[in-house]
Amino acid sequence: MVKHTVLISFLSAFAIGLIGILMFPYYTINPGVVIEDHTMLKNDCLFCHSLGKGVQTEKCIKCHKPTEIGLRLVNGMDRVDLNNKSNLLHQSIIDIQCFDCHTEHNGLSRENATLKFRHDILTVELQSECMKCHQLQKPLDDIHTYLVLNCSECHSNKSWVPSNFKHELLGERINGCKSCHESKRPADVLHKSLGNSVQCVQCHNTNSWKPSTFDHSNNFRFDNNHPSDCTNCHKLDKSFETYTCYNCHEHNPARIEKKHLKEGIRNFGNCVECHRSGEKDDAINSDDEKRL
Amino acid sequence: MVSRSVVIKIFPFVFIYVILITAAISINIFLQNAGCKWLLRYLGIAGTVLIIFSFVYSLRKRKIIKFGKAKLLLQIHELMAWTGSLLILIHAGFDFDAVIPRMAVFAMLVVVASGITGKYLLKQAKESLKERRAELMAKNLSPDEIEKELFALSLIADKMQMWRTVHIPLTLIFAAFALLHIITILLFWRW
Repeated sequence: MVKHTVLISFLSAFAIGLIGILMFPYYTINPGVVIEDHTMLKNDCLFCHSLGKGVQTEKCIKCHKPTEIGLRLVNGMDRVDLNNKSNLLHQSIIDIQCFDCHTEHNGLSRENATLKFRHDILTVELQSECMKCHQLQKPLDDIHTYLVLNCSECHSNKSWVPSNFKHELLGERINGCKSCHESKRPADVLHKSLGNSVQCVQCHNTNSWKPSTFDHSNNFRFDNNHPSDCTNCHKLDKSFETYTCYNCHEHNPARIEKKHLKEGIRNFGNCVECHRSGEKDDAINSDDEKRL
Repeated sequence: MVSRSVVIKIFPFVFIYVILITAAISINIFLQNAGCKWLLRYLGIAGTVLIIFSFVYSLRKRKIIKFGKAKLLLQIHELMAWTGSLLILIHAGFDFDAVIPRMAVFAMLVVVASGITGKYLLKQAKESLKERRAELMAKNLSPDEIEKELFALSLIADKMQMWRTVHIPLTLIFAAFALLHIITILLFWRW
């Protein structure tokens, strides 16, 4: 008796389910809402599906002819909103299936039927001609106007940013940093005071702004008695290209003059030319020329 | 009074059951948003396989197979069926587009609930009945008065005793809908 009840439960459920599937497939087995344009096919599963094989491209292209996509509707009428880009794309697809990019049962909106696009489905020729599809996306800034190169020199086909821009591509314009980077010039006193004769590349390289190659010890080495407080030597209201050592009791102009003249040095106006540090015995260039 | 004490003992199981359902649905939503929708498909397969293997106990109990200790197989049955159901619930999520798989999930939840009743809740009810009877006997009540007092609790325990009446037919109903779901997937899905 129990065995019969169990068997009847199974068979009844199976039969009810089967009848439901045959009569109302959309409500019983469909995994999600089909897009609005396919609504009339919602109970005709085999219009798109092949038993045991799923959805096959052959069935899709019976209605959606690749040569007409973007130009004509499936009923053969010309589209009002022509989409040449879509047409070019579908005509340039190498051997792949529709379902590699498109899906269904994902909601009413047509947007939901397109999965993420991959460039590698396109022919190699079209992949190298980015502008055929992306002309409108090309920035109108100086660099993109100046450089007449293939986009792939800097960009990947995954996204525009980050780009892999190489300054070498600029050729003879490589030293014209300011034409692109003027707005990024730091607002600090040092950078403000630098005259136009100073080029960025004197301290920076094209890989990154930081760290800069500027080394103050090439001019003068700091120590405890000569700390790196800019205003000790550089007057704020003047350029950093000028300096003075006569700002402390040790470097009295009259005493300095007397000491140098005693050594026979007359040309001592530019201290750091000989004194690259506070060490008294560290003087360089004390050649005869200075003694004139 | 008696009914309340039973409810208090039953409540933790109901609570855990609801929490598990919620957790499974949350995991489903998380995996979908994390771009792991494909994983959900395989969780369904894994859950089904686990549930199928859990039936070894049912075969042993009905002496269709002879090997294995029934007690150990029962424990394996519970563990596999629980884990399998959880995986299937994660696989199914909170999606109500198709009736057949929904019916399968609903039947599965009832089967699991009846299984919990058989394993835990019935034991709890019986223990409550025993404790209460001992209390009443200590008060020197007559057998008629004791039976009268325990009527509600006995009724609950008797109803729970019927868990098998639900568990086995519903398992077969679950199997029927799950089978239909699997067949339609094999027919229409592209693997």
